[in-house]
Amino acid sequence: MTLLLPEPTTTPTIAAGTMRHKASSPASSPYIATSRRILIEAEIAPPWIAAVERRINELLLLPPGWDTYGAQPITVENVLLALSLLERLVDLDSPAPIIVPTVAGGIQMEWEFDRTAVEVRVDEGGAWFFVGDDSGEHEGPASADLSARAARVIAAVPYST
Amino acid sequence: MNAEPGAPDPIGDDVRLFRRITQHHLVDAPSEPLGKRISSAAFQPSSADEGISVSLEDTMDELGITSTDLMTLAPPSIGLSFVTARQVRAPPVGKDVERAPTGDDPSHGNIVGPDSTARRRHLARLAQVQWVIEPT
Repeated sequence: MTLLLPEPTTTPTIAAGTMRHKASSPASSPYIATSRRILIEAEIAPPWIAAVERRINELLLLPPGWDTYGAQPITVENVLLALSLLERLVDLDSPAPIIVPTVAGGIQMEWEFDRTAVEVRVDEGGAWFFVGDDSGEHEGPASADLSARAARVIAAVPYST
Repeated sequence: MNAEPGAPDPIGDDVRLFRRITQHHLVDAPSEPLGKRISSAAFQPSSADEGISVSLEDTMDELGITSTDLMTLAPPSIGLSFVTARQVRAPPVGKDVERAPTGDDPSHGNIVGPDSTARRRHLARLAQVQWVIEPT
C-alpha cells in the first residue's frame, strides 16, 4: 500500500504493499478550501476500499466539538497512520472495518464478529489495539504481537458479499 | 455515613447518567435487535482527561431539566443513552462518577477512573438508548 500525501511544500510517500493513498491539503486542492481530503488509489485492494475512502473523508470534515462534548477535529496525520495499520491487517477478502471518529482527533477501526472483535484506535494518544479472541481480551499500544492477533481474527471471517 | 459539610451530595447507585450519542458512534450491527450498536468510541474520556461527560438524573430532576433539554443543548447529536451509576461502579467497568456542573449544564458530571478499551466496550454494551432523532 502506498500513501501519497501532497502538502503545500512536500509530498511524503509511504510505500508498502499494493494500495495507494493520497491525502490532499487545502493548499493543494483548490476546490477544498476549508477541509482536507484523502484519496486512495488502489490497483489491487479489497472491494470496500472506496467506502473507506468516503467514510474517512466524511470524518475529516467534522468540526471541533462534533460530539457535542468538545471533541477535536480529525487530523490527516492520524488517518494516514491508521491506513498504514489497516494495510497490515487485511487481505483482499477481509471484511470491511467500521470506522468511527475519536474525540482525540483520530479514528477507530472496528471489526465485530460473533465471538471475536478487533479495535484499532489512532489519535493523539497514539495507536492502540484491542483484540478479543478465543484466548481472552488483549489490548495495548501497537505491537507486532497485537497486530498479528488482530490480523488472525480478521482473517478468520472472510468478506462475504 | 454522612457526607462532610460542603462536600457534593453522593450519587446514588440508581441515578441514571445520560450521555448524548452522535450518529458517528451509532454503527451498523445486523445481529443487534435494532440493527445498530454504540461504538466503544462513544465512551472515550475527553482528551483533557476529565472523564466521560454525562448528565446526572438526580440533578436534572431537582432543576427540572428534561432529556429533551439535554438534546437541545447539542443539535448535532441524534441519540441519548444512559447507564446507571451502579453499572459504572461495578465490575467489569469499575469506574466512578463525579458531579462537575458547567454553565451550560448544571447537571453535568464525569465518569472517572481507570480507562481501557475493554471498559469502554462494556459501557457501550450497557448503555441503553433513550431515544434517537433520525438524521435529516
